[in-house]
Amino acid sequence: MTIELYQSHHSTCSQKVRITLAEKGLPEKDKDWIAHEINLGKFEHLTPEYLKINPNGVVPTMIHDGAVLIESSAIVEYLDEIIPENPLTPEDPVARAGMRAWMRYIEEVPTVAVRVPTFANMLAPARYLKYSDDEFASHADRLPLRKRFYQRMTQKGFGEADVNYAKEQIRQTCERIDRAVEGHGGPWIMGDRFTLADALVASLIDRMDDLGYAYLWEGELPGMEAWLAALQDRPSFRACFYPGARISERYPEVYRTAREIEAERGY
Amino acid sequence: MGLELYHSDHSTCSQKVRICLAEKGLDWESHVLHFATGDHLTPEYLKLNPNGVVPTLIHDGEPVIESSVIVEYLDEIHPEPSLSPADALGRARLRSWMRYMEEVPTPAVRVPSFNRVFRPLRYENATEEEFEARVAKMPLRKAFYRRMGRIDGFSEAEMDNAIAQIRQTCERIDAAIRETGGPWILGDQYTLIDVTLTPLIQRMADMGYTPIWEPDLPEMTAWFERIKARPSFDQAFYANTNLSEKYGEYLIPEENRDD
Repeated sequence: MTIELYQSHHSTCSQKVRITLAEKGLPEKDKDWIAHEINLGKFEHLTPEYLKINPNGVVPTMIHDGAVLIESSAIVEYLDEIIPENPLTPEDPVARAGMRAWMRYIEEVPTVAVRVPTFANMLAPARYLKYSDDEFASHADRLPLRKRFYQRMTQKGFGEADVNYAKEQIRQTCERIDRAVEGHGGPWIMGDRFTLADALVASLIDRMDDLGYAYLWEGELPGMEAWLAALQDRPSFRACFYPGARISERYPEVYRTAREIEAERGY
Repeated sequence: MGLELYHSDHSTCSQKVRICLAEKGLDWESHVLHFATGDHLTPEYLKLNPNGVVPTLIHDGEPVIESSVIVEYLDEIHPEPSLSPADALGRARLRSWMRYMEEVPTPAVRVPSFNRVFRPLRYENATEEEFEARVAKMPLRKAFYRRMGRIDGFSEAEMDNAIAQIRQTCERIDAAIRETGGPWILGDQYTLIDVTLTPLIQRMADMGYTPIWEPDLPEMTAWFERIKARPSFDQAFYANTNLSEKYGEYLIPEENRDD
């Protein structure tokens, strides 16, 4: 079995797949699976060659024995089906539907929300501030998905209302993790089994942590904090977040904590 | 076993589930919620569905939420006739289509739907305070309502983008049928992606947007004709489930209005 992953070290959706690969017994990049690093800063995800395998122009894309798979949520379910050992999905159909409702929530709410501070605090200063209006507009035009996200943003990232709403959505996610862990008895979102819901939300919470937003949950949500500590202790987490995998390491020259940015910017 | 559905006649996500129930030949008990009176935001309903949206399926007392999850659940507990490919790769292709359907056309159809019908119907005559109080109660999609606004509606750029997203969806359906040979999106088998895209395309057709696809996407146009010929279509779209039937006066283009 050969698994190749077109990915980016610091992309949260690539991290979702890497943590799942590690959980399924394939932890090591370039040994258990082959990595093809896509440099998002050089827009390698928008080349005609890459768009042929992934028409959405996003990472990751997985190639399994020649078959092309896209969409991180679909890829992780596929991995869980073809490698039955250490199942990451509940056997009971109602619990499985509960996990999938979590997956849909993760896609709609925190996945979208973390892009806002990521762009406002890191990618705008690292990549876009030097663009003219025309350059920025023509960049947005090239994207098969999420054009409006870029058009709403401008080169400076997002404004106060957008950043505050994103923080509110992350706080809601953390509260829901907290309630799920408390309600199902923990240590994981669905109870005693680590599932795809944990695998998908892990990189989003880690991104917020990396950007300095741990204050959104620290000291207030004990169930969620116990979940995060257990997550960070898992071998799959360490395999996924190898050195250089965090956005603070990718752009150290522009990195400042959320608190430092808020002191200056006001939000 | 008992199936109950909390839904709304004209909500596209409710329609996705009703088509699936009809394809499976299942009987179900109906609980219709009215958005105008805020039925979806009551404490009792939020206990079943913390996202405060329709639909919610109750199966033997257990709530199942999210239309994409509900249709997959129904396909698992009632495997005949199957609406998912039998092999893992086929299922992954189905699921990547489902994720695209949720991210792109599902939010896109809300933009003209709200601009042309729901905003003037529900929000235009509310006060700014009432509007903000209503939005503040919504567990999801607050930003969508704030971008729309009570009076202004979505900008031209938002509308253009939504129409472009629907066009992209139609192009992808057309290309998929050419690649697989059809008659359905994944080939021979009618699947959950045909089920869940149907109400979105029907909503656009109902609002008069067929020119987005009809002139130059013959495979997609023929696919939609085949969809409408299935008995499940008439069962899911019973009387007064289309916006044109319920709120037709809002759909008349400005230039053709008498008043």
